[in-house]
Amino acid sequence: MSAEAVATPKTVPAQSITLSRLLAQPEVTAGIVVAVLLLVLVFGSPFFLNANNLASLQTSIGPMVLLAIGMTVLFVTGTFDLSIGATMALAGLVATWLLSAGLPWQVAMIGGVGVGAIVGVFNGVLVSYVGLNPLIVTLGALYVLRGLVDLMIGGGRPQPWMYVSGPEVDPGYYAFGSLHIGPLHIILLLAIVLALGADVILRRHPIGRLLYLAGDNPDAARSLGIPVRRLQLAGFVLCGVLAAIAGMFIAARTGLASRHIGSGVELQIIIACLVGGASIAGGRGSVLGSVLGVLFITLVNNAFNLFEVAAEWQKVVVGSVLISVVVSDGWRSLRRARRGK
Amino acid sequence: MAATDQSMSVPFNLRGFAASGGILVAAVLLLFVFLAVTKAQFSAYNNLYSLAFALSIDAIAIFGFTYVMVLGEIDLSVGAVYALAGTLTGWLLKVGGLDLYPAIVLALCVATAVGFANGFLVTRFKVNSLMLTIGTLILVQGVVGVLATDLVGGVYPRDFRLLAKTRWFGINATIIVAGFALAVLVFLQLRSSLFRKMYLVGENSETARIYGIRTDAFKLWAFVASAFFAGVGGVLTASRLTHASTDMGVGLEFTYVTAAILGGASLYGGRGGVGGSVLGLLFLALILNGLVMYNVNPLAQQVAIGVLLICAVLVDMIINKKEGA
Amino acid sequence: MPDLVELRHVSKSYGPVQALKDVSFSIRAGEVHALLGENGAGKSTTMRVVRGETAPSKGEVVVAGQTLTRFSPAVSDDLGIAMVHQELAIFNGLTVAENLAPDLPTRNRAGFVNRKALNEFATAKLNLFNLIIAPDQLMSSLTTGQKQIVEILRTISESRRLIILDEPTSSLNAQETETLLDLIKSLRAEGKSVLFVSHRIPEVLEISDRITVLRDGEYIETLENAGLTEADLVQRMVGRDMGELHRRRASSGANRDIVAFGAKGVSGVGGLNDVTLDLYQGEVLGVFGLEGSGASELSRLLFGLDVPAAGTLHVKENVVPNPTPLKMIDAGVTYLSPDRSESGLFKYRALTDNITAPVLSRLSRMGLIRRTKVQDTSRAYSDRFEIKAGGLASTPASLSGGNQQKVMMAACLTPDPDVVIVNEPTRGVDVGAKAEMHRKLIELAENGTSVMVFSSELPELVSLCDRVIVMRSNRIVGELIGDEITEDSAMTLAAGSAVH
Repeated sequence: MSAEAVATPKTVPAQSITLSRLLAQPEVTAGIVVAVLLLVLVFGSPFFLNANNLASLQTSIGPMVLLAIGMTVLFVTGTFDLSIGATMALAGLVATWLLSAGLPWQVAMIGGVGVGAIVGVFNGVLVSYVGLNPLIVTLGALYVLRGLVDLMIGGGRPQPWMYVSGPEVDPGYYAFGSLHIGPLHIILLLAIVLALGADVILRRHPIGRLLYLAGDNPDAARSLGIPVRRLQLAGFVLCGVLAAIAGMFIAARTGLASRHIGSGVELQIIIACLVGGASIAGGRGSVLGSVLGVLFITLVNNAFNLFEVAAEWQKVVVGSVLISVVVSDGWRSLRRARRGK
Repeated sequence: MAATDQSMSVPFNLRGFAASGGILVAAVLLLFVFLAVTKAQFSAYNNLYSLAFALSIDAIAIFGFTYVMVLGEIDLSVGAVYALAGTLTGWLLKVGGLDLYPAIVLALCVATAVGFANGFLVTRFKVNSLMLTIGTLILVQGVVGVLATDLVGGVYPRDFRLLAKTRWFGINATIIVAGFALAVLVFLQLRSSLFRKMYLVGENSETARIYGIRTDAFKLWAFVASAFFAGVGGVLTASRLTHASTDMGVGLEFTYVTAAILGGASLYGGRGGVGGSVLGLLFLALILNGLVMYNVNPLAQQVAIGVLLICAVLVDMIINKKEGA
Repeated sequence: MPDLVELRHVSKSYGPVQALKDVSFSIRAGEVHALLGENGAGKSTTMRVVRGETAPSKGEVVVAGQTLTRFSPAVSDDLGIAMVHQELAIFNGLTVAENLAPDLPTRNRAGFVNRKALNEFATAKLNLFNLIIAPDQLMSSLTTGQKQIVEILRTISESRRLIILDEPTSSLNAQETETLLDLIKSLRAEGKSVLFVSHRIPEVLEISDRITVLRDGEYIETLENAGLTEADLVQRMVGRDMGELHRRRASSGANRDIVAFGAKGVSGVGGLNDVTLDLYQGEVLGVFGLEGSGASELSRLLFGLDVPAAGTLHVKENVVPNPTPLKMIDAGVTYLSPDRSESGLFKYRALTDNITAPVLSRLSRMGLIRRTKVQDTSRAYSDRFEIKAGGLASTPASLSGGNQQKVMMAACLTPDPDVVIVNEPTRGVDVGAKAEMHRKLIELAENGTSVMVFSSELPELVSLCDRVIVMRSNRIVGELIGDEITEDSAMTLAAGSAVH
């Protein structure tokens, strides 16, 4: 091969935007599905655009987005966390308990966040450093945390101290649950800000890049000096903290730190993230996609309420969606592995 | 190679089985003696009998589940399938107007179909069984909820309520059936070529393939068996409970995973057996019974099981994790 | 040109195995230096020592005049030494640009990644080497060859002085190989050194300045690439003088009238192309190919472990449709796995289970295992192969490599097959056990069983086989019969450019 063969370098343009490429992006398909759902709801039910309905949508979407941010980070690094719902309940309970002891709301919130961080460290150490299966560890954590919640409550009916709206309680916490800026609830604003920030960081900041590298090919990442385990641990702590915030919010908003807070939410969040393009195999997903997934799930739930579909049928739908998403994710991973060989 | 610790490897003969199960047997015996000596209510006939009764039903339910784990997979939908079979039977009886045995048969068929679906998706699409069976769990729970709502407030027909309590020669039929089935299965585990092949698949599925063993078929049938036996357990439990309950079977999968791993099964496959699983169930039952006897807060039970599960899995990993697993 | 890296009397042992014995050579700055040798010659170990992934047991490594005291990839990075392994360390879910610059040199003031700048950086690098790949394409959409090139590009940067490439062309097609060789020449033009490990003599001759040959862990010679021929290199790789023939066995008892097993037009998903071969009864047929030749893929396809993209298999005259291992065993064919640490053994189960695994059904009555039959069969085969173990209940995990191979061999023979496909039968086995294994294989053939031996050890093939098929670049390039089988001739076909 002669050196003359290297003529003028050709610049290869970035790939053009074609319809098929666009549709291949999971965020786009998720967006389309959400848009369709919205249309169905707007035209299918007179109550969808009702102010109350929209308000309650806000307060379900807000916390779910927070949870989805944490879960997305974990999926990207190649793992996941099933204890988020239980963390929510325990954090809400601990914060309320601190309040009922007369402490100011800042202390109560720090306490709740602390709970989330501790759970995150526990999960992170066992999964990332010791190497245990994340499903078993976080499910075991779920079990333990729910048990602790029940222990704190002491069984039976809710105790007076669990109610957040009494006069002796610091109004700052209560405000957290009900503050509005214009028509928008503070939790939604917080969620939007955090989601935007998280999306930008994941997409554009080096730390986000490291997370994708760690999840896509942990061995290669390690050989490049990337601290895979530390990143996963950080992901678990972030997830725990966000779950704690979500849990405290719900306790503040409903006025009661119930033991049912967060029940079953972990699977909804996993579905949301998978629909939004994350993969169990790691290295994929985006906050934008997961937020679209959250919208999908919340709108589906809302549809069920507005069309008065029983809770059980909701589970049927949710389960079917999870199965199809998991199967198609597995199928896609299989095909990727075959092609990569 | 000679330097690796061989005391943990289990050659499959009677001596090896005893060695690995010996610790659990000792633990169970110790626990039993401890409770018998320190709490008079423990040794009361009623208490022991009801323990045995409950255990017999769980034992039947865990048979198939154990073999899914032996093959290196996991079925987390067992609790939901258990609830489905029981609730569906009740529904078919009350709302569908069927007779007892046709209702039971139909319910079991449906449960088995769920198992088949799990097995098919896992083998055909190579899906992670952990995630998939969670999806199945939710879906089936939803169906159970629908059925249970229809049955709210009603008590099941008399003949169904009496089913679980059937006695043969003065002892609950379930205890006899469970004991008999257990004996047969333990025998088959030791002597059947089919069961032996199953352990080989769990130990190293690629090697098993090279020797002509049909790996996918074994996994498919194991999921079917898991759902079937869970279904049987569910039918019996529904009969015992006498009315529909939305709590039925919730969290059962964790109890079963813990019991199986305590009994020698491994998340990496190739080990365990129904004898061990039932012993594990007995151990858990004794612990819970003990907590009740000592008036420990019943809510601590959940915490206890969660902790036990994590410890069991930790130990499993230390002993059984293969290189590069 | 000054020496960049020098190895002085380097030896390396992994436990009892000595991978390198007293190897000394040097790599100059700005040269393309090839490392040549057959499997097991010590090339990988040498690369790992130079890259700092492992420290030598004896001897010194000198880089730019400084003797190394610490060996780690980070140290090597600082010294400007990088390596591209054979298993690609790429990130499939990310774009080409992100793979080229995982450490993201193009950040703006706020610390965020400037995507446009990243793509421009990537485009510049790609253009430098005249590559037509879009920077924002997903890595997963590239061919293996392209991925390899991208990974190589990743390691190239200003501060790199030496780049080690491990078999870089093994998965590349002709065009990609040309691109890669051009890339290497450009590197040399910039004053960088390349240590190029390959089996492919034509390529080595095309671009190397100097060539170092290793054999059996020992340093043989470093040659200047001036007027060298393929034969010169082959002779040094294989090294046994023409006079020193390995003892070949007495005339073959093969019956060329009967075809025991055959493949026609077999192609595979991994690239194997249109392979047709016949195995005669009582014959020992060898298959030889270096890495990337397609030999290992062929072996799996012949036994039905992988699904062929095209072609048919037949045992005697019967075609086996949609072949699976079970169908093959029923048809009388068994398979010895090439990598006993991955598959082929049930490491923690008793020898009885291992040896009787393929015939459990036959040794059972009414579904129940007949224990005495199992014991007898296991004992019979264990004695026949002289497996040294602490009783039939012991597990393969407690046996030596040679005995583990024997266990696998015994398992292959319990179904009383007509055809046995054997892979690397004496890998990692000591000399004595090797000889025993060879004796057994020859015995098999003499008793009428047909044997196919896939092996990367030439002496083994020379002494065992009646015929040897040589593969290269996913096809058969030659067949050697009888006295034609020499290490020289096989290696020439496998590494050279000739077709026979």
